[in-house]
Amino acid sequence: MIKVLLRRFIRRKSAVIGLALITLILAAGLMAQRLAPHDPYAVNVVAKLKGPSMEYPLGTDQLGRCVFSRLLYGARTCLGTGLLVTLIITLIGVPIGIVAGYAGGAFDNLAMRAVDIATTFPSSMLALALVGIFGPSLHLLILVFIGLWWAPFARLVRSMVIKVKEKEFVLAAESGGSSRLSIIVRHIAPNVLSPVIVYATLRVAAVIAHVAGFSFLGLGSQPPTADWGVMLSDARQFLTSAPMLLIWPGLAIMLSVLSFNMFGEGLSEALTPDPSEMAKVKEDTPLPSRAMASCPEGAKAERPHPEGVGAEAPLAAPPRPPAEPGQPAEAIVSIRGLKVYFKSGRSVVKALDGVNLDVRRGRITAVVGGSGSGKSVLALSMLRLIDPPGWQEAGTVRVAGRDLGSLTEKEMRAFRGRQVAMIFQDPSGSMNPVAKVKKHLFEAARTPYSQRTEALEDFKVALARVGLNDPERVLESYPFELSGGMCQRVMVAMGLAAKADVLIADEPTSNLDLTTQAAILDEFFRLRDSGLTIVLITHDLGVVAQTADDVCVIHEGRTIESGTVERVFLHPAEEFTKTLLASVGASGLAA
Amino acid sequence: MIVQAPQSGPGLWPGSQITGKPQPTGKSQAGEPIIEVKGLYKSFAPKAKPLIYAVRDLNLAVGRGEILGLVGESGCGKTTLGKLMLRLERPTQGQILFGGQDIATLGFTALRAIRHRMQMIFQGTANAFNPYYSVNRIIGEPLENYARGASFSERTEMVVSLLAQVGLGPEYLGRYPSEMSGGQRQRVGIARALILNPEFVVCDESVSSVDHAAKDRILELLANFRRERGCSYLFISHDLASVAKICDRVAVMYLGNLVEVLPRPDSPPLHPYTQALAAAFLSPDPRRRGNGKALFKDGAEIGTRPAGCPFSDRCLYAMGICHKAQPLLTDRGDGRLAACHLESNP
Repeated sequence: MIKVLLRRFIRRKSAVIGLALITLILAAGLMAQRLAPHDPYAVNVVAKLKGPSMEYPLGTDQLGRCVFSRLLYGARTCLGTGLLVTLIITLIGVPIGIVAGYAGGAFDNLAMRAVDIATTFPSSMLALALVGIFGPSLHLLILVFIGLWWAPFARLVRSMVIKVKEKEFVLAAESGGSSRLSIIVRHIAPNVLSPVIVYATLRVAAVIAHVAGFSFLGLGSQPPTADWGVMLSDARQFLTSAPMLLIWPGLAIMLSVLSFNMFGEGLSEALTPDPSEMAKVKEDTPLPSRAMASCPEGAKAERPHPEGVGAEAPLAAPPRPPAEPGQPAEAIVSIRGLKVYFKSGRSVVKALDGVNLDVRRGRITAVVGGSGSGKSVLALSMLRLIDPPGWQEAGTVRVAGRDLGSLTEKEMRAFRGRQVAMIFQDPSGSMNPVAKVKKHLFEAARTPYSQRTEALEDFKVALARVGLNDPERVLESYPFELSGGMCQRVMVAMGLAAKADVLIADEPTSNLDLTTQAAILDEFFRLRDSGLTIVLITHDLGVVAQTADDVCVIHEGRTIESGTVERVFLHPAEEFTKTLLASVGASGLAA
Repeated sequence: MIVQAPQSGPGLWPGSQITGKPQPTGKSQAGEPIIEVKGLYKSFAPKAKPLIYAVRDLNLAVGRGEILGLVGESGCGKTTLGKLMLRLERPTQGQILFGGQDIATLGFTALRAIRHRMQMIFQGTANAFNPYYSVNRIIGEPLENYARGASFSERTEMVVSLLAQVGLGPEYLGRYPSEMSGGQRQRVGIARALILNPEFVVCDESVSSVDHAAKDRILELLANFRRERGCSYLFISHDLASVAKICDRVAVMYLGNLVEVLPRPDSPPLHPYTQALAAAFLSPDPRRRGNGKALFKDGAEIGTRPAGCPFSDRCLYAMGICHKAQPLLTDRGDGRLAACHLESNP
């Protein structure tokens, strides 16, 4: 796990540069005594305002003090203040946030009121006011920053903790008899750690910039302290005669703030994988299928695949004619010889190893297979959503005649949701917990702000169509307020709102009870009859038998058999399909 | 071992039972139940008007060595009831008698003293496990709390032997939840719950989202544990085939209420909701398409509760009284309980 994070972090140049700069500045400050050629306070009036020389690497200031030495010692003050303040606000804010979030109740109320109060004070104003009363002092500034800045930290941690403590592993730990302290330290804290680290890093930069700013105004460190803000302030008077005096401390402040920001952002990206990054990776590295499409190999893949058993134009000549001969049997999704591999440690796992699939327009096509057969990977391939460490090794995915491998990431984004929408297995997990249902629908439908009011009416219709009969209340609900079945219906409604042509449903009913399942499947029938094409990915043969028009059986990443449901279920051609059907018979086929 | 038994009678419940199980002894009247809830209420928003209960006036007992199935619509309060019984939630009102002791109002520390006797198998989703914990630590954590004398290697040994029983080799010790499939995670969850030898286990959708082969293995595993260690289960599931296979009795919930208790999984359902549920079971035979017709009115307000009987707005047989008074759970003979105004099977 740490290795993965490290790799993700190293891949970001800015983050690595940031870390290198921080190390450099920190080392300079720590070893100032050894590195500095002079005492930073040693005045040498004879040599004042000198340019760089062997003796004074960066020249001297108005009192003949060594600028280089002062910069080195200044790193101590600036970084020291930044790290100290951050350390203290972390030590105050994180425990308060964790306890408030975990325990709730009276302590939470009290802590959050204190946070409210602390966040209402603008830190600069308070600092100015206190400096006015007590006189300028760096210690005062530090106290002000600590006194105010623990609060947003505590609030951030509290909200993270509330999210984590709802997860079942926390309940499981409680059920396993763990103490409160153990639950907090071992289960909650590690899972809120990454935003804490990122926030703290960015805070260091903020403290450095603030302290330098106040010192520059003469409200923080006082001359002759070796402080970058003070140096900057002193150099002002010599702007025309010795402009370099201004440049050095300015550069030092800029670099240290920048390095912490770069480092912090790199960390946050490494700790939270975001989908656009994967898209970027895809664009950087040539997609194998894209290369395939441009070379004759692509044409080869179109030909019957010798490996796939059901490969020879799976649905071109089914033993029976399609259920409704009037319907065009055109394939809207056509997958040929698809191979998707995943890197796992040093070995390569062949998640898909030669899958052929035709999805005919206006029909429900079921993809059925056991756990680990590659069903879900197949679904993701239809949206080109295979994330590293996975990649598409070979084959083509065509949707509505377009080869997905040939589309740019931008075209792909327009394509996802618009043409093909997907319903995921874990509906509550794939919805943003802090966004109301209507926001999810706006995003799915990409409604412009100007049309939101009218769109709401459409959404109410869509929600009513999926059997949610209080659409107004549902629109205003957060995902966690809805049951799993309701979330699943909302996901279907999102597909409807996007007006997609193809709806891929990955185990849409596997977590639902039977009556809800019946209602959702009924809805699928209605959607199909209104022209939507549905790909149903499931392990439930009952659902397939009662719902799908066509079925494709996959096992260990290969197409075993495909055809109409009647053909495959009543006259299975392959041994594997027979075994599969027999296993269901044993568990519930009421004869 | 799972052996297909001949279908016994025209029960609406599909599938066969696991043979070799003890005769159902778990009726609340026969012998002392391991856990019993009385007049249990749970509301998640105690200040909301009108009060919305996730669990409402619930009375139910699980006998020693019994597997009680609990079925119902998603969001009807099944999982909440399971968590209440284990006191992972605090009830708003009512009693929870575990081994005769009322645990409804016990505090965190007092509960720790009995936690090892009751466990929950969570759904095998990624959320059920701390992502930074290896399988060894996940399963071993309860041991750290209750088998304090045991050394790390002794605990690991216990984990390995239990892993073997759930069909995972010792190479899984170092795996992380993200590196396992849903079925594997499910088995790790089972091992975590069973490592302390609990007397009562709540299985929350333990066989949903695994394929048929894995489902059979998990059911067999649970049945084996019951046989060897005599523990009792509350088996929450919406998969009627699994419920029929493993359970002695079946309780049916609807909108937080207990509407029916079937003395056997294959007894014909009496309550219209149970009938609807059984009818919604999908046969894997495409020729029987359309047989699973919905036996309830659609278009009712989901999540809102009608006056009178909670099912009255979707029920095909609703009469005048159904919209006025909520029927009580009454004994209909043969250990069957039903909450319906209808006198007999409609």
